[in-house]
Amino acid sequence: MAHSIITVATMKGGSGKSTLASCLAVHWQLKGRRAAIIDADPQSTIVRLAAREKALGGVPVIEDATDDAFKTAQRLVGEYDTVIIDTPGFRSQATLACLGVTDFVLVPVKPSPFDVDRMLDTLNVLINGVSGRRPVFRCVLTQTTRDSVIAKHIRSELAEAGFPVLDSEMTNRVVYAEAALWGATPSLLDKKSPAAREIAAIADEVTHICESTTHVIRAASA
Amino acid sequence: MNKKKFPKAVLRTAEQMREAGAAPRSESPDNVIEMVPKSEAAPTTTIAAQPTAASTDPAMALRRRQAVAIVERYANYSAIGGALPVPLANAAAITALLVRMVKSLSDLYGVPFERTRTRSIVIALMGGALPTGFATIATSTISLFVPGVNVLGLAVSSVTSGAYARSIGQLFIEHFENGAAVDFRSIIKR
Repeated sequence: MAHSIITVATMKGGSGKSTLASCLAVHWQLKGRRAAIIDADPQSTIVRLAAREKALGGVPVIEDATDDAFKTAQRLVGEYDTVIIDTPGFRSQATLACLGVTDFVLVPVKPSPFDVDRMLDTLNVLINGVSGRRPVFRCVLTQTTRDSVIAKHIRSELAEAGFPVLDSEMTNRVVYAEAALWGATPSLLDKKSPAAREIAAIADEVTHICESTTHVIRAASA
Repeated sequence: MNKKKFPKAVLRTAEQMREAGAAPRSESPDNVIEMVPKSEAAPTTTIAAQPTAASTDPAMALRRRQAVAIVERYANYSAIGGALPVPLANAAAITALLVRMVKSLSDLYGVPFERTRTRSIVIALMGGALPTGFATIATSTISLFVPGVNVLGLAVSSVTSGAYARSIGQLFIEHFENGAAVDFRSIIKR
């Protein structure tokens, strides 16, 4: 999946966008892929994270909370293998513009009705198209309690309602906050930790989907 | 799979979204008041908020919601009243119901209520001001005399009475919203 823009987006705050974006970028960086993050969230979570000791393992973070963040992404995607955009946790022109240029959208959602309701507004935008495009997207369950009934319930309902969900999910773990104290992600602290393995699983699924869709697009244009 | 039984968490499906386009959800529950119309409906166009009296004051908006709820309730009652299989008696029952509806509304708006006056207004509205509607009610009531078509007659009578209560209720709500007492002339004029 060379040169792709991945946007992490949902209009619900606190769903784990920044965590997911930083974890994926660090994971890919460790795997030897050139990854960069555009922090389009005015909360600057990732910028602050990168200011701490381990500085996200050296992943470049570009702060651009303007409506032109999508242009920054388009400019950077030639230089990096993967550009991940972390978007604000509310409806914004910046997010919509990014969705208009992205190759893939990850929509993190906590297994709770508040989060699901708000996330559906995001999916509505994705399904009905942004700037004439309907980007490929996947929901990903975040902050789940392992083997909880509600997580399974929401996963099966989303699938039933026709919204694609990644098989892998981000379990709620203290290690995310602990790693953040260092300006790191779980993969950077211990590659073999359960959290790092979950991140790797999500990253592999995303890579697989991106590769297959690029393949389809190429085949269609050939 | 689950031992616990949960209600639905995902309230919309992808299919529904595709069908509805980017339209916003239209239904909101009775106890939710939108102070500003949702601007998310059309992201490309800007919608200017239209501040009406009802949307600027939450107390007024809530009162209006309650008023509409009262009218809905009485509309349902009179639909049942309209299904009374006794000719003419049902018209009387509906008149009585409508008078009670207006009483509830005037209580809500803190407007003094006069039974005789209200009754004459209601009868005038049923008969004079809305002749076609009255004809329908009259026809459906008379059709009750005809043996054999009673079921149809009842259905028609029930539906028209419900519709009647709703439109008369709406009229009174508008009237009370404008801050007037039960006044014969200004209502009939509408």
